[in-house]
Amino acid sequence: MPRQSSFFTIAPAAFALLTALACSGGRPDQGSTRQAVLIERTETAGIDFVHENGGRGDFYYVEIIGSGGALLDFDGDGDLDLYAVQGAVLGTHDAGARGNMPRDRFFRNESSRTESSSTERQRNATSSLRFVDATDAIGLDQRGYGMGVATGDFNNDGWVDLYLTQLGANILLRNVQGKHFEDVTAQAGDGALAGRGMSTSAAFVDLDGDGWLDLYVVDYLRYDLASDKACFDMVGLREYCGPQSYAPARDSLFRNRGDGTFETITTSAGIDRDGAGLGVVTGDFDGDGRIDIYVANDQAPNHLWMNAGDFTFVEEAMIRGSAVDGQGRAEASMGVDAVDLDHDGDLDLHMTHLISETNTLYRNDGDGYFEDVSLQTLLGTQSLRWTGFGCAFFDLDRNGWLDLVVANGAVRADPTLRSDGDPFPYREPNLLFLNDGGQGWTEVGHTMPAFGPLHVSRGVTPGDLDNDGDLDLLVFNNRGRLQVFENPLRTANPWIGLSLIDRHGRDALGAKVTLRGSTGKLTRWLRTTSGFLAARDPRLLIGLEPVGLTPSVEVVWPTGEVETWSALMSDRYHRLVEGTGDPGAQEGRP
Amino acid sequence: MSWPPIAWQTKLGRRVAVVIVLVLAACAPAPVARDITPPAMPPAESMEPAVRAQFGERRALLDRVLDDPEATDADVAWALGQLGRLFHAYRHLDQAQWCYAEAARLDPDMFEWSYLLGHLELVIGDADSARERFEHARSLRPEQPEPLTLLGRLARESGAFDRAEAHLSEALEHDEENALARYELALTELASGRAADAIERLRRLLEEQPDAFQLLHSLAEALRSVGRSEEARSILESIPASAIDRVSLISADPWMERLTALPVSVTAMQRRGRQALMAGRLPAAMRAFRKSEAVAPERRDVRFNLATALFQAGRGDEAESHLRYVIEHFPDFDGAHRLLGRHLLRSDPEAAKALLDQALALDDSIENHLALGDWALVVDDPVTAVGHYRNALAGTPRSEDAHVALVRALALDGDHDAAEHALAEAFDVLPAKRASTYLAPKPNRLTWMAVRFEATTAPQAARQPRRLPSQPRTPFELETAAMVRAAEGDFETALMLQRRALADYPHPAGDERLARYRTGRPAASPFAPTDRIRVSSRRAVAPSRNR
Repeated sequence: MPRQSSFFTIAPAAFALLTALACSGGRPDQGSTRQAVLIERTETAGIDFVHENGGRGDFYYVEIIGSGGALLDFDGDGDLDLYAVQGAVLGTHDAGARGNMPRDRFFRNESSRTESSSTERQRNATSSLRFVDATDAIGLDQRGYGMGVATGDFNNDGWVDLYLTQLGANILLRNVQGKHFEDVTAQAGDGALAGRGMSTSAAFVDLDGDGWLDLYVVDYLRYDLASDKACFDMVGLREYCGPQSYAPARDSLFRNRGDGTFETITTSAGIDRDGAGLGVVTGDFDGDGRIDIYVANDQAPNHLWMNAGDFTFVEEAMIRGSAVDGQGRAEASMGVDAVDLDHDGDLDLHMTHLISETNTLYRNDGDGYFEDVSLQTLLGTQSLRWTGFGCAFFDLDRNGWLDLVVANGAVRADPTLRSDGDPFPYREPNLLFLNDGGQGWTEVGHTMPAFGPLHVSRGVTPGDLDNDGDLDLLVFNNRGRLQVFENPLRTANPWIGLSLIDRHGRDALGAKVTLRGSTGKLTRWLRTTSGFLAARDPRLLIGLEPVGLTPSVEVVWPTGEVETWSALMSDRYHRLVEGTGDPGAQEGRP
Repeated sequence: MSWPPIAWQTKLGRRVAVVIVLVLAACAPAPVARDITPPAMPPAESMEPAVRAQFGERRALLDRVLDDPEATDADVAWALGQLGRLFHAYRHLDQAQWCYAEAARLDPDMFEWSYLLGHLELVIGDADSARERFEHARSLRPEQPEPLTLLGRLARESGAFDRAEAHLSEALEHDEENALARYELALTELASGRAADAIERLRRLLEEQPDAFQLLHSLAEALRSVGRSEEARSILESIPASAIDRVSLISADPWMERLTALPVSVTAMQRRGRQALMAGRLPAAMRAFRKSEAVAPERRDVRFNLATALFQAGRGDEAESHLRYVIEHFPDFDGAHRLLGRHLLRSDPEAAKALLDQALALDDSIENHLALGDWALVVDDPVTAVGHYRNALAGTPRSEDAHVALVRALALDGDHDAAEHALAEAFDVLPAKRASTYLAPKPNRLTWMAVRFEATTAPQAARQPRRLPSQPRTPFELETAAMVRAAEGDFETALMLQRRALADYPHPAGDERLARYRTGRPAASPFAPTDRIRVSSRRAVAPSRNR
């Protein structure tokens, strides 16, 4: 019997509204009934990071891809610090003295964190977002050509660590008690852990439920600067190549041995297909209790590695309807996110794509089989005009329905911008879709002054930067400044924040949370990968409107243990530690 | 009383004449000053000369028309439309959209501007506007299936399945063979719950376009939707990864075809050449690549692609000069070493080996291992060949090319058990249906190879008349079919098939088989050194340069 879904079963009137909004070639002129709420605070927050893509007229392919960054509580003080991934000067161009060379930056969050002050801030419409550059203070000196970053406590010492993907060798940075990072790549694995070529996204994930985070690294192309090619556009102008100018690479999988070191198991795990991967998202797509891996490939069929247990995987994207779009076309997939969009308890998929392709929304039927429903929503039609990279679902207006931000930026020059003399004519508007309670979407990015200036955006990551109970946003721009957007939400919508801590004292990446209340049910998964090259707030912030004020909270831990909590107070964060809840039915792992 | 005649030469007459002329002039459709500012042109100094000339010519046409006081709105619309088409062809969509919109406004009776504008708006996600354009185009040319088909697609995508079906059925009334309309109708049937109709329609389309991955994918989706998951899985798994998304549904659209034929840049020519090469249209490929070479002889992809087309056309000597150029100027490009090595395989095996070794040193790729394996077979060293093919498979276990090569090399080495074992392994990895079931939705080379084994190493099993995986077309398939018929004892048919194969590809082993069939003996072994198995031409082509 077909399952009823309010989100995908759009009433004719609602559909008419959606299609009306989809007109005007991308950015509707009609005024929105929904108010956009993000305010840019980059400067006042003390963020002065500008991405260096290395572009000096050589059109190195890598220039147009990066970059991202991470939100993490580096020092364990309860707020989110910021790691920004930097590019580099490329080829024979003079990078200047080492002290002036671009490098990754670390910003410590110094925002006020008290409840009262956040309430006051809301009242006064001012911001207390404050970051200070602590790059030197923590001795960080990363000067490679960075792409992205994954966060996770790989050695279970309670401090969140980083895996940096780069052009060339990747780096595993161990967080030494919130004081500094230590490069432990060589000690923690064989040569494969550093990799080579061009890695993009990565994900820490406990694939076997042993309590230790394994690592999946997406490798994009067999590319280095020496192999860079000259490409030209349709009228003969120099242009960036496409991914098909290079051989696709194979991703890598590393098993955590249970002591903070990694064993390369790519081949034995059955990861045997190349693909120009850019984004990765992990989750239990078929509900069998095992965490699977979905990889968004650029101009090639995507991969869905179904976890068959014992660290073996079978690629089933094509059979499960998520390798290509609804008409059998492999798209240029970039960023990917997976959430329960229609509140039916399974993971749906959303991917960003090249201009003239829809961003694609795959609806999960509950058994891990997908249907492309992009064209039934504004998410698909509205995206045709732009090239999407980062994407992240988050509950911007805290109404319990997940909204969506899409970071856009072209890979082929816009002829109009080029004619206007734009030195980097790849800028595009970002999109912010508000979820109309499961009945459709409203794009509000175009109404926000903060989204007005165009950038070449790549990574995007949400997080509650000021701990005021709403989600703020970071956007990482290629050859542009990192942007910080504050969410000055003024709504009484109740919410609950959850930190899920496993028995080792670290964020329980992969945990599944189900909130059950008098009026409904909500399901969320904890992971820190954020769409494309980025890592997000490790806490879950959930609007309670669909379920009621005091829902019961069921957590399925990555080990398969199930616990419940009840009577948790709304409008505040809670730290749920594995082993301290009421025991629930054992899910286990088949 | 009558009016006196007006004498034109009189003063009055002249005055009357002037008044008449003025009145007539006032009534005529006088050109009005047009406030039209054409969009900015691409930076001329950076464009390739041929492209610059194209844009200059069309812009000049527009300027002339705008300056011409006698020009009508339709004239201006025509010039704008031509410029719009050029912008569209070169993917300057904003500029093209503006030109089309102006052209359609000035000359609303012209089908082409509305239709192309609708197409463009469809691409940029402006579905409502596109729908209006197609409706208008349809009102102008109701007999054209193209706007109706796209209206059907838009209706399907908006969930209006009845309307979609009406549009598509009407399109098919005008052109019952229109592949896109049939495909859209199948998708509409599927979406509206009539999966059986959709499956039947897709199957019929697949008979005409068996390589269209889009159709295979949709058929699998349709089968899955009615619970026939294993059939769906079988179809999807039988498709080599390299084929996915390479061959789309082909459907004629004269307006879009004229548009895509417009660009003359090197990039456009390269794309056209690659498409021709993949479709096996070698003369067209060579023409396109030669045009590129005339403009950009220094570009690696231009020279290499031309060499590839020449090589495939059997003009290896001509290809050689281009390959030597590439090797001289781009010594790190393994493809040129490999292709030149392949060219020299038989005429100078030693030089070929050096080139292929160099290619492998540059890139430890499957293609280079395969080429070295082929070289080893030429020098009668199947053991080395097997080693290279195994290396190729280690890197890419799902490569059909590598499996085919390995099975063949093992058979040539005389180890039929190992060859059949390798074939079984290939079927495990590439689970196309085994030849014995003859159910492979799209038989591949492995299927045909398996047929050869059955016909030669297990002739008893082949005694029963068998249905072949598909109609044999290539010499390899024809010879395989001959083996099967000979194994069945039908030597007359076997001789006919063998002769047809040899007409296309004469070779000693083929002659030997012919002789055996003449004397009533089946083929002795499944493979011989001179058997030519189709090598995927796609691998030889330089990859697409741009998105």
